[in-house]
Amino acid sequence: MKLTVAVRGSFLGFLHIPLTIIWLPILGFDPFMIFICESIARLYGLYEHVNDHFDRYVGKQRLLEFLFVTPSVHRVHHAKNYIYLDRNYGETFSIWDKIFGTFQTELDDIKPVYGILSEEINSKSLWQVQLLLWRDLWRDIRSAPRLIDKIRYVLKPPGWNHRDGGKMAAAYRDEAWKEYQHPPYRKEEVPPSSSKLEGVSPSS
Amino acid sequence: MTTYLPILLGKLQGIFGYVVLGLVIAEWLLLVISKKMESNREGWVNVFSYVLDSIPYFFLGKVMIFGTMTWLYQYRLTTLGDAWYIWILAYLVYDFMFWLVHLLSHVFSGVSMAYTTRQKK
Repeated sequence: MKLTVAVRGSFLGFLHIPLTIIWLPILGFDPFMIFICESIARLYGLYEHVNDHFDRYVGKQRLLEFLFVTPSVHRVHHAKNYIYLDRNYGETFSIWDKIFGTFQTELDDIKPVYGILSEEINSKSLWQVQLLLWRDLWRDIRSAPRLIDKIRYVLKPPGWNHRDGGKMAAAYRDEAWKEYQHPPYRKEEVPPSSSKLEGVSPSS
Repeated sequence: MTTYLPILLGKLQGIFGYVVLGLVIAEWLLLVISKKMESNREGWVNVFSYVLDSIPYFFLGKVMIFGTMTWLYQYRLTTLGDAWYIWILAYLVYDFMFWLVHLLSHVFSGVSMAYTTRQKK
């Protein structure tokens, strides 16, 4: 992790990012007030992406997790370990994730491995970072024979397919939790390096 | 007063941009000096992605978004004012909306593709 990750955006981000704030004046909030709040929140969001080495000086800040999204909490969001998939959507406060059941603390025995389930993407390639997933989505849409399935590819979560329904993040996460809580082997029989939970991506 | 707001907003965002840029560069330098930078190239990809992300805002403009919000403000359901607790409420509402839009960008593939570029380290 590093701060540049916080500013990495998509050329189409402008289509959905403004949805966060654009309608709030209807509720009676002054637009200027919203912009100030957004700027403060984005600065805090930048801090969440601080390099992992920062932990050496401040630790994982477990107490702050009670209320705030700490760098440790946000690292979980960027992890591709099955057990961490689709968790911790918050920016400043962790309360929303806790209220709606999407919070996950960083487990002491599972180090986050950064990335997404698509192993094809090379994060050192600008065109791949910006366009590869769009290409994959376009290929999926073209592969679907029925119009309803083409629409579903856009509206369903990543991992869905029209052939057998596919496997999505929640299924991977549930399996990983079961395996974590009830490992199929005795701990002393297996060397720590063979843990299946650390950064293994699906082949599909 | 309303005329000056977009100008003031532009200035504040300029300052905000420099603060973000300064922090990003400072961390980058620290990582390079301490030989903990894994990939400079990846850092550049992130910075160029930021530029690509910012281009539509440059043309459409935060001013256009601010303009829409100012227009919507005329039809507000109530006037909340600017007391200190309203600032806290505004921050909480903003933070919830961020959580919601972020969640939805993981739920729908069509949005997820525009978002997932942020997901790698």
